Parts: sequence; C-alpha cells; structure tokens
Amino acid sequence: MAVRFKFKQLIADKCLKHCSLNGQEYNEHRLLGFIRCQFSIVPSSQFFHKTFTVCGSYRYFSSSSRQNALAKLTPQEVTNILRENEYTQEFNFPSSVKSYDSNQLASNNPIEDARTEARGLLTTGILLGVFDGHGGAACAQVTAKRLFDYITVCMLPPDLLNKYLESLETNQSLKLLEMYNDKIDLLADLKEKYLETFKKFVKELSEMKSNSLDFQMKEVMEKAFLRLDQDLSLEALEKTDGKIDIKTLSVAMSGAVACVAHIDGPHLHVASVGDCQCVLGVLSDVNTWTAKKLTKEHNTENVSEVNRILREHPLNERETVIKSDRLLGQLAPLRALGDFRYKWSKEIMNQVVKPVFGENAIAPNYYTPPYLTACPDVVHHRLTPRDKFLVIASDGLWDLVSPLQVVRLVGEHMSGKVTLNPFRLPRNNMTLSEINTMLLQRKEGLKRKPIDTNAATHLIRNALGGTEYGLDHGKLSQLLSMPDEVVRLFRDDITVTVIYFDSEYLRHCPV
Amino acid sequence: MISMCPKCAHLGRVLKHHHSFKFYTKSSSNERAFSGCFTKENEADKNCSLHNQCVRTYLKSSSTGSDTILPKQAQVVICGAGTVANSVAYHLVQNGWNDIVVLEQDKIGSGTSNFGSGTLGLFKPIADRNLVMYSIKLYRQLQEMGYDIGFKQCGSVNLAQTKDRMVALKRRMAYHQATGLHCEVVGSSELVRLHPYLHTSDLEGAIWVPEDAVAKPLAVCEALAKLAKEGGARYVEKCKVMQVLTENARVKGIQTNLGTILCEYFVNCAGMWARELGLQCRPRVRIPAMPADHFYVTAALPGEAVDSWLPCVRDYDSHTYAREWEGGFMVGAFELEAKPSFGGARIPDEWRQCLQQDWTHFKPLWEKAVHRFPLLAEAISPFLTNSPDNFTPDGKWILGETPEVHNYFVAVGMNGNSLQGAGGIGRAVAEWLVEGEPTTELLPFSVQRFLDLHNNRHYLEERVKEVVGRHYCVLYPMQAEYKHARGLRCSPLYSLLQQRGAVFGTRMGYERPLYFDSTYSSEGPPPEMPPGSFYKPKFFDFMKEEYIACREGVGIIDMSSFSKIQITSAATEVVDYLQRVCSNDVNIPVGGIVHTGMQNERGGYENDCMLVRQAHNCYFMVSPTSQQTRIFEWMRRHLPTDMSVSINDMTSMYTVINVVGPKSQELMAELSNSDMKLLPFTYKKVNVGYASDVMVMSFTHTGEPGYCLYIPSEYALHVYDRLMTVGHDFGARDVGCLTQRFMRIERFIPLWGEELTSLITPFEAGGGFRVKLDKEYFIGKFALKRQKEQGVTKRLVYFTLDETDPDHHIWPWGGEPLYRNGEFVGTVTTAGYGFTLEKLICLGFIHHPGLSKASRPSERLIVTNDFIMDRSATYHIDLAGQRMPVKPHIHVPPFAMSSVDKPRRYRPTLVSVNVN
Repeated sequence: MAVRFKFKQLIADKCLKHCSLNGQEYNEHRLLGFIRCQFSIVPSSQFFHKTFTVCGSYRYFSSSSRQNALAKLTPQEVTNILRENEYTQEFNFPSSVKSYDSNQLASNNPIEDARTEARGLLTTGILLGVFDGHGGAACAQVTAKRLFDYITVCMLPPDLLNKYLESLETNQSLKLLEMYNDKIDLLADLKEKYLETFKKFVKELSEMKSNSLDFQMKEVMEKAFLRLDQDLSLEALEKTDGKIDIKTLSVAMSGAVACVAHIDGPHLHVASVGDCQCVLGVLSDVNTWTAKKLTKEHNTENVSEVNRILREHPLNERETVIKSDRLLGQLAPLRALGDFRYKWSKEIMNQVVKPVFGENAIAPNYYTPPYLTACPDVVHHRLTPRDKFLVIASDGLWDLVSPLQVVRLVGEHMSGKVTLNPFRLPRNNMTLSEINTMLLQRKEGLKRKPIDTNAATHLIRNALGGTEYGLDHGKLSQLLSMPDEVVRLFRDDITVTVIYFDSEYLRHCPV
Repeated sequence: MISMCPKCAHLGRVLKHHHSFKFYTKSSSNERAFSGCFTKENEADKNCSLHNQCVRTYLKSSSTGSDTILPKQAQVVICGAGTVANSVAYHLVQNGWNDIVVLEQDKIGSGTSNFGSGTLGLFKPIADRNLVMYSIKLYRQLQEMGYDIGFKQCGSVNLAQTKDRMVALKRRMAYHQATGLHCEVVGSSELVRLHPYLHTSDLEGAIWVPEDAVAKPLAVCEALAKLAKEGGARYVEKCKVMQVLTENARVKGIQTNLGTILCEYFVNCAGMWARELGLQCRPRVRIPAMPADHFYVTAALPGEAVDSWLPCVRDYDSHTYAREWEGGFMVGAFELEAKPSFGGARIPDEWRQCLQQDWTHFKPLWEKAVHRFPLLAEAISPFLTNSPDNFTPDGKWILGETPEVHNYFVAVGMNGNSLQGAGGIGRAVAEWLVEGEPTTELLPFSVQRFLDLHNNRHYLEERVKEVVGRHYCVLYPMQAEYKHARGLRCSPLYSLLQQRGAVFGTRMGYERPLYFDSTYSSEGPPPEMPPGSFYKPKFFDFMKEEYIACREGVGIIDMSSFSKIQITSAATEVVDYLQRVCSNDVNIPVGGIVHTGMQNERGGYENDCMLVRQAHNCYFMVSPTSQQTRIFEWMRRHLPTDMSVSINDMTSMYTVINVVGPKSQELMAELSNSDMKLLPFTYKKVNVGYASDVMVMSFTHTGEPGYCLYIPSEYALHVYDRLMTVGHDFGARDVGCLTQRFMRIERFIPLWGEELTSLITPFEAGGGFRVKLDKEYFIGKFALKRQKEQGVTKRLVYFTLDETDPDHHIWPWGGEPLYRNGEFVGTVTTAGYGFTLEKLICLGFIHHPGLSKASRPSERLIVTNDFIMDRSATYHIDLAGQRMPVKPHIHVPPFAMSSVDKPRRYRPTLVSVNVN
C-alpha cells in the first residue's frame, strides 16, 4: 500500500512537471484520468516514455501506438477475459427483483474487490453487496462472507431469533441465507473462530429486549456493520496462548468499503460505507433514462463528511486529519470496515501493531483515534414501477463512467438484449397489431444489439473500451493486456452488480 | 249566494262522470252496472244535499259552513280541499291556529280524494309508517266520534310469491315488530282461514298485519273538513287560485278568481294541480309531482256478499291489491309500466271526462287477480275506475316549506293513496308550520330534495311510469336504480367511465358510477347491474378489486355530484356569518380546510360539510349531493340582512375526482411536478398535466390517504386521462361510490341523510369533537351545550357482525332492528361490508330500551359508554327474522391504518415455510 502510494505520488509529480494542469487541485482519480487521456491521444509522447521508464514497462508501451493499433488480444480473447467472472441469477418466485447480473474484472492480483448476493431464508428479501478492499483483499473477503449473516440476524423477530440461537447451539443450524455464486471459502480455523463470535453476537442479541414494532432497517444495518467491525477488532486482539493470531490481525490491518442493498417487495434499503456507489435506473414516462444516486461516497469531495471528521477531532489537527485529500494523508475513503490502524488507540497500536508491522504502520499525526468508522449511511427508497434496475459497483467502474452513462448503457442494453433471444410471443390471443408493435420494438432493439447478455459485462466492456464513436477494440485490448505491475494505474478492480426489477410486480404490490 | 251553489251543475257532472265510468256494458251486467251507478248518484245526491245544508248553515252561522265570499285576509291560506288539505286545516286548528281559509276550485273532496282504494297500510318504511299509524289513530277517533267513515281495522295479508319477496317482507316485519307494530308470518292454512278466497299454492309465504285498516276516502275528507270548520277554518268553494303573490320571496297573498286574499302562510295541497299552481308564483315553486292513471276494479260477486271484515290483500308480485267492497271485491294495481294521466299534458278543466278507462291495460293485472282469487272469474260486471293520483320522482310524499318562497308550504304527492298519509301528513305539516321546523323525521319527504330538473314535465312523464310500479317491486337495497329519465346530469367523464365499465346510479339526477365492471370491454351495450340481492351483491368482486386499489395503489373516484357553494364577502363578514352557522371553528388560515356541521337550534344537523378557505373573504363549501337545494336555501335564509355576504352555487363548475390510496401522493407529485406532501386539511392549487388551477385538497371522504381534486370542468377529461395513463404504474383503477360508501362505513364516518339528520346532534353521532362550544354564539350552541352537560339519549354505535358469513347470510342493509339483551334499542342506519376487517358492519343509534315509553329523557336514560360497552350485554341484529349476534364498538376497531404523511415502514416478512 505504502509502496504504491509513493509510486502514485511520483507519477503525480512527473505529471505536474510535464503538463500544465493550470495549477488546479488534483487528486488521484483526476490524475489517473489525465494520464489515461494523455495515453490515448499521444501514447508515445516524451512524457509517457519517461513516466513509464520508472516502472520498467517502457518497452511494452512504446511498441504499441495508436496509429497502428496492433491489438495484442483478439476480440474473442477480450470477450473471454471480460466474461470470466460474469454471473446471472434469475428469481423465479414472485419478487420485486427479477434477476441480477454481476461481474468482476481484477486489476490487483489477487483482486481486492469482493461481492456477495444472497436470499433470506428466514425472513424475505434479497441482499446484494459490493465490497472494495484496500491494503489487501483479506478484509473485503471476510466482510463479504460475514456481513449478511449479521444483517439477517438483526432482522429476526425475538421468537425466531431464539429459535435460531437454539439451532446454532445444537449445531443443526437453521440456514439464514441462500448464497448465490459463492466461490470463495475461508480457512477452516478462521471459519470456526468466526462462528464462535457470531454465536456470541446472536446470544447477546437475543438477550436484548427488542420490540419488533420498533423495527428500523437503518438500525439493523448500522448495528450489523458496527458489530462486525467490532468483532474484527476483537478477533485481531484476542490472544491464543499469549500470541496474536497473524491471520486475524492482517484482516484487521486491511480495510474495505462496502455497499449493501436489501430489497424486499417495494422496499429498497441501501447501506454504504466508503466510496462504492449505488445508482437507480429510472425510466420516465417519456422514455428517457435518469440516474438516481442512492449513495453519497464518503470521500473528501463529500463536504459534510469532511466536516464530520474535522468536528470529531481537536482544532489543532485540522491540517493533518485530512491531508492530500486523504484521511491522515493516507486513506482515500473516509469510512471503512477494518483498517484498525486508524481506529485503535495508540496503546494498542504500540503493543500489537508496531511489533509486527513496524513503526510505519502508525500513521503520522495519530493523536486522537479513532479516525475512522464503519457506520454506514442507510437510505430507504420505495421502488416504483418506474425504477427498472439498480447498479452497485466499486469505484473501479465509477472512475471510468458517470452514473448517467451507466444507467443509459444498462437501459440500452435492456432493450437491445431482447434481440439476443429468438422472438417469442409473451402470451396467447395477441392481436396482429400488438405483435406488430412488438416486432417494431425488436427492430429498434436490433440496432443496439449488444455483444454481451450480461449487463455487468456490457458495462465493463463499455467502460473500458467505450469512445465517442463506439467500442474501440484496440483500447480494450490494451487495457486488458497490461502487465500486473502497471495495470492498477489504468484501471482499478471493477465489480458490478446490476439488479433488475419486476415492474409488473411493483405496479401491483402494496406499499 | 245560493245561486253560487252548484247543485244542479254538480249533479250533472257526477252523472256524466259515472257514465264515463261505465265501460263494461255486456247485456247481462247492465243491471248491476246501473244499480252501481245509481247508488253513487244517490250518494252524490246525499253529499250534495249535505253540502247544501252546510251552505244553509253558513247563512245562519258563518263558522260552520263554506264561505262564498273571499275574506280579505287570513293567517293561513290552504289551496285545495282534499283529504290532505282538510287534515292540515284540522291540525292547524288543533294547534290553536284558526285564522285559516281553505280555497277549493270546485267543492270539498271533488278532486282525487273523491276516490281511492281506502286502504290504510302500515307495512311500510318506518318514516312513512309513523305517519300512517297516526292516520289510523285519527280515523279511529273520527269513527268513535260518530262520523260514518267506514273505518274497519280488518288487517291485511301481504303475499310473497318468491323467496326474495319473502326476505323483503321479513326484513320489513323485523323493524315493525321491534317498533310496536304487530305482524306475523302466516302459513297457508292460517292464510286461508284469514281470507278464504285466496289461492295459496304458489305462495312462498305471507305476512299478516292485523292493524291495517280501510276507510271511506270521501267520508274522511268531509269529516275532517267539518271538524276544521268547527274549529274556525273558513272554506271558500268555487274559488280558483290564480297566482300566489310574493314579496321578497315571501308569501304575501293569493290572487283568485274571486279576488285577492292577503295571507302570511300558504299551503299548497292542490293534489294533481299542485305542480301547475307552483308555477303560478314568482319565483316559481317547484313541486315535481305528476298524476298517473291508477286503476281499480270493483266487482260484485254472485251469491251472498263476502265477509265485510275480509283483510286487504297485497299481492306484490302480481302488482295488485284487493279488498272487500260492498260485499264484492275491489282490485287495484300498481302496475310496472304506468301511464301518466291526460297523456302527460296539463290537466284539462273537465278532467273527469278525460279520464281514460283502459281495460286492455288492466286486463293482464285482472287476470293475475283472478288467479289469486278464483272466485273473481265469476264476477259480475267488474267496473273499472281510473283514479289518477299524483306520483313523485321518487315515490315519496312532498312535504314542507319550499326553498323558493318563505312560508309557502307543500303537502302533495300522495302516490296513489291520499287517505293513507293524509292524517299523519296533516299533523306533520301543521306542526312544521307552527313550530317553524319539522318535529319528526321528515327528511325523506322534504320538498327541498329536488332541483329544477325534477320539475321538468318530460322528466316527470318518464319517471312516473316507473314510480307507480316501484311501490310493489322488491327494492333491493342500493341495487334498485331507476330505468327511466336517466342520463340527465352527467359529469364530463360520464361517457368515458361508461366505456370503462361504469354502472351508474342516480342521486339528485346526477349519474354517479356505483361500481366498475372490469370485465366489460367497451364494446356492446353498456354494462348493467345484475339482478339485485339481499345477500352478497353479485358485483361484489368488482368492489373488492376497487377496494384493493384504494388500499394498495390508487383508486380514482368521480365525485362530481357533490354540492359546491362559494361564500364570499367584501371584507371578513363571511367569517362572522360562517361562525354563526357552523358549529366548528371555521376561522382557519387561508389554505386550510375544516370539517364542520351546521346545526339547527336543537343542535341537529342541517349540513355536514367541508369548508375550504380560499381567501380571507372567501370560502368554498363542499356538501353532500342531496343537499344542493336544501343547504343553499338554508344558508340563504341565514344570510346577514345587510347583504354583505353572498353565496353562489358552483356545483356544475367543477368536476371532482377523488384520488385515494397510499400511492396517490407519488402519483400526484409526478403529475403536478410539485411536492404533494400536504398537511391534513389543507389545499393548494396546482397544475396537473397541462391543466391549471386544479384545487387539490388533502382529504378523501374515505378515511384513506389521498386527495380530492376540484377541476374546472373543461379540464376534467385531460386530468382524468393523465391520472389514468401515468397512474397505470401506480396501480390506478376506477372506483365507484358503493365501494367508497363501504369504506366510509368501515371507518365509522357517518353519512348525510342516513346518520346525520336534523334530529341528530354531533354528540349523538360521534362528531362532538368538531363542536366548539367555547366560541361565540352559533346556531344550536345552547342546545348542544345542554346536551354535553346532560349526556345523550341516543348514540351512534359501530357494530361488527362477527358470526355472520358474508358469503351465505343475508346482509344488513339498513333499517334492521338492534336488540340489547333481547330488548329493542335501536335501528341500523347504514350497513356494509368492511373490506379490511372482512366482516359485515353496521352503524345504528342506540338508546335505552325504556326511552320510547318515557316522555322526557331522565338521568337514567342517558346512553353512556358503559351502557354500550357493558360486558354483560349481548347485542343482536334481526336479519329478515334471524337474530345474529353483533359486537358493539365506540371507536373503529384498530386495523392497519395507512396515511399519506407516514408511509408504511418496512418490516421484514417471515418466510413461513422455514420457520417450523
């Protein structure tokens, strides 16, 4: 992490020297965008050579120039890479969610993003989450694995919670969730440890007097996020045989931002920590798409968030608590799970962290911890038949395309997608004029016939390869064939989940 | 003076008249027909001589005879000297008012009181029955006083040929039994014992009403006239009223062919001539009643005379009635398709000659009567009489003070039997005149229930055809709409709604969608209401769909028929005026809405309305549909004399669309592009679609969240179209008034005219919280204050029918008696199905069982919550003879309430399969 950061600083310095930014403030995203821009227009410029000599990739890039874009990858290879992780789940029971598409494209190795989707088995509703890790993949993956359980038990009414607790203790556990596309498994000893912590949580939960009439989804989400975060800390600090477990400690040292959507009937709740984004695609009555952002990223562009942090710390830290658009000059997201380097007290840092990770693990100007919280912002939205889909994605996507672009891309994909399947009449007894209307629509859709059936793949493809004139295979090929050492400069890990709503269901379901 | 007595002319006319009656001239029956005529002539002669005697008596003493000179003035002038007029005169005299002049264009009882079946039937809706009951009491007294009026309490049997008819009769019987009228179901053997000539094998059942009676119409008419005269009333015959003179819309005098008489009050009892007479006045007075031919046959029988105490028989399903008549039978009919008399034209001067004897018309009815009484096949020269009588657009009497002219009273529209109501009506109208307001429940009969459209000759001509027959039809509650004279007042959405499957009902001539047949596909004839039912209505499933739309999506209801009145003044005089006539505090901020009652001095409701404050000097008032004439008139009369406040009927300017349901806020926000989070009881003007200045009010009349849209009518189609197009995504659906009615009932919102009447106060109807006793004087304040201190003697209670299965049992519809521990304590006012509770629900006023006996309310007759909710008390409702338990509630039972400003919060739903 620290190494990469230094590296980025270096590039930034170079950039500033070589091209005029008119003295504008810059941040990492803007800078990367700037570099990309330079790259595509004057790929063999002096600036470019010099920049990349630093990381030793000069040869590779110098050989590819835009004029004779010799793509390293064939279209089929590009497609194979893009589709490697794509996944589609359809829901065949009556629900406001018809299906979802998801995909991931790694930049880091291993990928630091994680994702989870699951259906509640004790209470109704579907949970979908995107997690973007930093400083390693550990925290994101553990959080992705565990968070939904925490949310789900918080939603159980007391009697059911007790029943569930009983089942936990008899080891004939009732299943809370049905996971979809679950490819990652945790180490057995960690799993056991986590189960113990979880049991403890459920027990405490069942002992708390709660009234199901006071149910608040906001409280559920906050409780689940904060409790999981607290458990991550406790697990890291717990000593077995007087020794700190390095595995749990490394989970606690890495961090993750998360965006979780819970959808049950017309109720959509989005809980977000950090800088993932969640955007609703809304089709107006005149058939235009609008993007409704449901999250506000917790970064330095979020004024109220910056003010919150400044308020929480003494005045004399004003200059240091947020520096270079980062928390303590180091961390871009202003809220995160894990990252206990910014949460633990100085004593803990000195006793536990310093011996393992060295002096540099403690951030400079670390006076009044905690500096970071895992408390999510929770938004409730009542879905209407106008709301057609929801896109949750890590900042890897949002760095490349705007929410409105994303919504338009998915919207177009929706109408174009139908042409990927043979024409079928949706019902019997249709009149010729109705069929004619459908065929005309299909004809329109054929013009926009997409390559991918999966909207998440479609988004990634267009985000990477999109130009004003359409998809550019050369650009795609370049971005997908970069060596591991530099690829992170041009694209972050991308995780996209597109959730489609059933308008007919929403039209008829009660409020 | 004697020369003015028309003895010869009179005799001559009677003779002619009787000749015209003789329609059946087979040689074998000539003799009988003649003898019949003869008796009548003799009678007429007798009457005439009696009359002469009167005239002579008058010469001796003016107090007992008929005047022939018109007095110069009188306190009350009554036009007409029929039974009703004489009864009014008699009761005025009884009330101590004796400065009365009765003007008769011909001679006493020479109009339609001359004939009629003479039956007195008590087996009627309760308001009608109470008046008839008094009539019977009065006639019995007359008989006891020695007047030969042929009064016989021979009872009546009411026959049912179908199961539904039997239900209808049993429903009637239920409330009659509870309120002290003896009646019982009789089996066929008992029936034959009561009436040996009946054919009973095709009957479902019958009900025996022993207190029903018969009397001679003309004799009663004359006896009452005589008594009125004795009390001081002066009669002037051969005096035709030409015009009612008014000054400042108040009766000033009467112009007649004999000159002008000044008077304070005028009572129009002119029977068939009442409508025309109403028009002879400036401003015109509307009295929508038109004579229709009403036929009966008198038939002698061979052999010995039948028992003169035979009960009357009402064979509803054959549309006929029958009674003993001079040893033979009289058979009359209320046929399905009747004929307006004189072809719907004006009543000719020589009207008796113009009465058509239409035997072909009567023949099918006669055949049914022969089927019922086989011995009629032997009848000797059945004799057909056409006794036209006034019928009204809704088959109910027309009584009370007219809205157009002060002190102009009306008592007409006897609907085929003037004798029956005359006694009670005479008393009611006399008391109304003396007291200045009705003393009993007369709202259904008020002359103020009409608009000009009702008085239209063509309208009446169409409508009376059907009104006659309705007297004997099974009137299924809420499912008995008129067929004739429809489609008159329509909202701009009418045609569109019809295409969308609306089934309409009419109120105040306004077509209101009752429900929407969602299976109708806009082709073919418009959907029609299926045959009625006392059980679950056959269109119930449509109503349920509509309810679900209102509860979960958006329901769109056309409520344009509401009466709308704008009240303005130059400065804030309007506030003072409304504060005086309203019981709630109406001095609300501009943009606010207040729900208020308007009370009379007794605290009873004159109106139940919403007042919208549009400006500091301007209010917009929304009142129930049926109040359009009545409340405008009432408010006009209470206007300040300095003309500082003006009121304006705006009913037709606006189309009203109710947007009801949890998604209505989002829908309206989208349509108006503005924030529609209105505070409760506020309004704002917004643009909806391209339409501007739509008044959006944040109430729905249903208890559900939503809005009332007051749309300038020219925009109505556009707004409706937008609502439906954009609303598709919000689950919008057309909803009819019946569903809305049920929703109101379930939310315990009392309905005008059913719960809320001039005899019911807010404290009794549960609206006491809207009465602001701490504000300055308002009409009814003292009565309400007293009542608040003393407590109420009746209270509106909400009942759930927990053990009644809506799918299989007869439903309550209103009018059912309620019993507490077996004692009668009240009557259901409205009833319906509670879609949320999934139970039948009824509302009714509960009083102490002893109330009817005690003359004045005492401490122990106060109805308290404890009395109502007493755990040991059990309540029952009588549903067509079957007592079903009901559970009382003072408040609406809690059920998931939704409201606009608090969208229902998310709560997780358990997956039931996995829990166990």
